[in-house]
Amino acid sequence: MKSCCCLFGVAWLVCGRAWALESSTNFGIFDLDLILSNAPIYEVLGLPTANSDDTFADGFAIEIQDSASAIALDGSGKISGVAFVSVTTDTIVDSRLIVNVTGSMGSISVATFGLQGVASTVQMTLAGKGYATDGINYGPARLILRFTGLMTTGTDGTVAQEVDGTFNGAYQPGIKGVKVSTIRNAPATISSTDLGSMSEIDVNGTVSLFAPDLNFTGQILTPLGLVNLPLQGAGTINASNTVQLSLNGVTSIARGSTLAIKSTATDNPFTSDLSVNAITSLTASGKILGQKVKTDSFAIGITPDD
Amino acid sequence: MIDKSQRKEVRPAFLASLVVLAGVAVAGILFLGLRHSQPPAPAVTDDQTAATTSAPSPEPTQPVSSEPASAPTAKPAPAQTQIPNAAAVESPTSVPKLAKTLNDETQPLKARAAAAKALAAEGSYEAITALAGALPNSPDALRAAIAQALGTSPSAQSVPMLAGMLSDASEAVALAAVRALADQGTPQAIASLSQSLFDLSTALNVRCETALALGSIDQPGIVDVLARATTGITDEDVVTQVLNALGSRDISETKGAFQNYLSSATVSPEMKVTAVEAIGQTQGDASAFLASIAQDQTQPADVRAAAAWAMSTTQTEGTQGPQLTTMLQTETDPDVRRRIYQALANQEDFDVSTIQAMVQKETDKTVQVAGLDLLAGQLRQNPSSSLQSFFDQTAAPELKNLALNDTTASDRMAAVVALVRAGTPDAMAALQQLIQQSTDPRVIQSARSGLTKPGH
Repeated sequence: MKSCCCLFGVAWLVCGRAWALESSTNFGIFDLDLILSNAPIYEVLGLPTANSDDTFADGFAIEIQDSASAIALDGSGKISGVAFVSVTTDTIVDSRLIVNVTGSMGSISVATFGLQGVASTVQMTLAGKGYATDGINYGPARLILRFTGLMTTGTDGTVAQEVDGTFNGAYQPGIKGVKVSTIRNAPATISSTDLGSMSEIDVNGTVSLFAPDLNFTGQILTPLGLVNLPLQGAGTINASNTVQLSLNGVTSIARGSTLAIKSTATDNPFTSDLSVNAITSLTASGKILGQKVKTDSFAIGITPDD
Repeated sequence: MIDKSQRKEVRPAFLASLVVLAGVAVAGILFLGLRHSQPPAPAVTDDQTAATTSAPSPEPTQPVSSEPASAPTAKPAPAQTQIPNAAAVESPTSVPKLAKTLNDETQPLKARAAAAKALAAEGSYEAITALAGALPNSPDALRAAIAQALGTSPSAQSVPMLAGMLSDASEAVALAAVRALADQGTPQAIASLSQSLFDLSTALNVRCETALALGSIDQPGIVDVLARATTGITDEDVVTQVLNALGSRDISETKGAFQNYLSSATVSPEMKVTAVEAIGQTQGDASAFLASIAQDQTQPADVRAAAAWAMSTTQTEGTQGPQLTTMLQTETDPDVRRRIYQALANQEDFDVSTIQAMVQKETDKTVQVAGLDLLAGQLRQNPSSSLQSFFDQTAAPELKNLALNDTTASDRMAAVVALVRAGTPDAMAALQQLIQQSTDPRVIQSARSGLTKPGH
């Protein structure tokens, strides 16, 4: 009985594969260019700053300026960098500090008034030391601030222009006799000039087809070219011309990025006449730069690789 | 401890109906009471509330104001100036005026919300009755404001009212009720929030906000509720916020919950990464716990890398420098190695010469840049002649080369970051050369920014 089952299984696999080879383009290498739209993701390139008009806890106003910064973002949405910041309070204390910047980008289902859908999030910690510029009683200054902010996108894919959030942390101005100030929920913003965004995700690469199996090697191009994510993956095309691909970021720079693609078609898109117009629907979902993406808006091009 | 069966006893929809009906009824009673100058009724008990809900409404709900709606400008003074703030409410006689403003549709929303806040702060039976009476016919924004105001109300009726609003059709109102219940923070409020968290019929956003709200309450039993939610809830969006809620608390009380979650065979690696990143946000020193996760070879590399990364994001400097250095000697996964270098930057101490030797042997460019960035930070904080010599002769030229020629854009940027962080004359010179030679606009911009010192 067991042998029968095994034989039947093998026969089924062989027949299935033979059928697939017969019913579609059997093999070949193709260039794939897939543009996914209505799936905004962001690259944060600068620091959050706080305005002197915003009164922090303890009743004092503070201004945090991004004097100079260099921020790197990797494929899993992790932020690292360094910055020189100046901190000014309403007590005329001016401190200048070098801060280490760490953080990450992510997504949440929006839980904020008036907003719908998925929102990209930014968490960033600024921690560093410096000095006060008061000439008489100056001393070492310390700052640790954690920024939590939210970018929202409408269901129409409208991209945000800035990241609004809050600072929490502590600031020691470095002036003798001036205590550490606790900062709670102080408004802070990453401005639009420091924010790259895109609503289109360009996935391009090479598809190796040996029906029903597919293999993909390529990349995702991100908005400002700050991070290009190498992708590899595999999939299948079945008798109904449904193509499924599961792609993952490769190399340490892209690990954590994933993209699952499923398309349906009235005809085999890998035929000799490359009838990509036969693709009637396509959905893509995954995580890029730490942010969730999900869309069914697409444009696709498939050409034989010469 | 909140028993699950207890949470199921009172359905939110029933509570909402109860509150709405009670609100209409008591508003009518209050309206009659005001007209006939009768003394206020005694405090409402549960039984009395039930009885009230079955009674017919004595008056149709309408604005209490006798002013014609078409002539608001005929009033002698702007309404806003007549509204005392919460602290100013001292006399019970002000409640009718506040109630009038609350129900006056001709008033700006801001004024009506201020009246709601004052009534909630006053907290008397009459004040809460006025708020309940306003709920059924007010716009969502005002009902959300009422919910928010009830969060700080001393009235015992606040929590049941808010519990009923958790299932409000308006998500804005429900979210406001969630936050208000967290502000109340009583055992009854916790029970209502817990019920909402586990209730599949509750809107997703409300459940997510409920998780975060529970995490903000400083009461016994909260961690137990959240720990049960990590395993008892299947929706990953909700569980993510539950983990973030745990991450907002002190690691000393949440470590066990995180350990159980991370050791579960049914939890996906992606959710374990989420848990580990939440640990990085905890209060207290979580570095030893995170180091143990980063070292645990039974965990997937993604989880170990996330644990090392989380060590670089903790608010307090960790104490795991020696342990991380030891891990580097055996760790083979490049992503984990990169994250360990980044974690070392947030440790109190580590052996610089050992790290320097390992960085020089790195073959993966991404890992090498992370190592050089660590040494750059050390050079600025604790400079030594040997480290400076290494950096000027070897690291700075290598970083400049990477910033110019590496095929990975983020590696190029990371190299610029390391040069900026080092701040040595040679590093500055390398940045200057990058401005002239690079074709990458971001590299040029960041190099230029890195050369700009504060105040210049």
